[in-house]
Amino acid sequence: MSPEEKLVLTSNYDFNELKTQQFPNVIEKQVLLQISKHNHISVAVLLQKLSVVSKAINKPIDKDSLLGIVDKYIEKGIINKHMVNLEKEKSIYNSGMNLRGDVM
Amino acid sequence: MKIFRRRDKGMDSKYLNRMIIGLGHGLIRTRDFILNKEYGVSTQDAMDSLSIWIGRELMKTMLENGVVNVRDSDERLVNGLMGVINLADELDVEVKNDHIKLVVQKCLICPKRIGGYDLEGNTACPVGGVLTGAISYARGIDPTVTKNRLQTAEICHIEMEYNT
Repeated sequence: MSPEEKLVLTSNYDFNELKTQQFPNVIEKQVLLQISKHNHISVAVLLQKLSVVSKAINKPIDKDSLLGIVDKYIEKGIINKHMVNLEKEKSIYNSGMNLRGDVM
Repeated sequence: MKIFRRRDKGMDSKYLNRMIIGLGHGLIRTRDFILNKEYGVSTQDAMDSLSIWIGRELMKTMLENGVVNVRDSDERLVNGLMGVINLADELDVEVKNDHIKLVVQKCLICPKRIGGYDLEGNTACPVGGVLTGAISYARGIDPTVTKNRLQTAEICHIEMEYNT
């Protein structure tokens, strides 16, 4: 099964391997779902998409917790590194902007 | 024309009112999420999100009425909640560090077991969300429902973590 297929199944709670381990929570599910829908999604866009979830469940989602989720599912073999554009974010930070595009 | 006036129904009625208020507020907070197809929201996701706000409203009322205190243990908070709404005949709580495990037996708010409704293969358990919302309100932190193993109308296992 390809990582892409695993990703779609996991984001729909249909990946049986994970059901016996740790079920993705609502934030993790959205991270997986958004990555599965977009090719090379950036962390900034992911954070923007997750802001709606954050409001819904009253839980702040920052860059560190998002990257933690991405790493977790990379280790599990559900996400491939190339699916999330992490390098671009580093260059944004280095250029003196934060993830919302505001000048720091 | 007949005029109906408010009658004092005591505490039970107060909590019911607050649950409905929580539902309304929750709908406002969650609408962009649960009504947007882009997010592929399942019935359980929607129930988790909405019931968080019901739980928060319940805990707010419990604290206002001195039913529980913010310094109470998680077990005591859950027990207090069980005192104001009949969540289940039996609810086992195990707290380890930042991890809460719940086992719900004979749930009394199960749409299938008590309501008798056909859930068409879905789940819509409000217990995890209600407890998450209630505890987060009392603690000022944000636990997340991490695992739901729901055997609708039977025994359900729900896990929550503070730091996820």
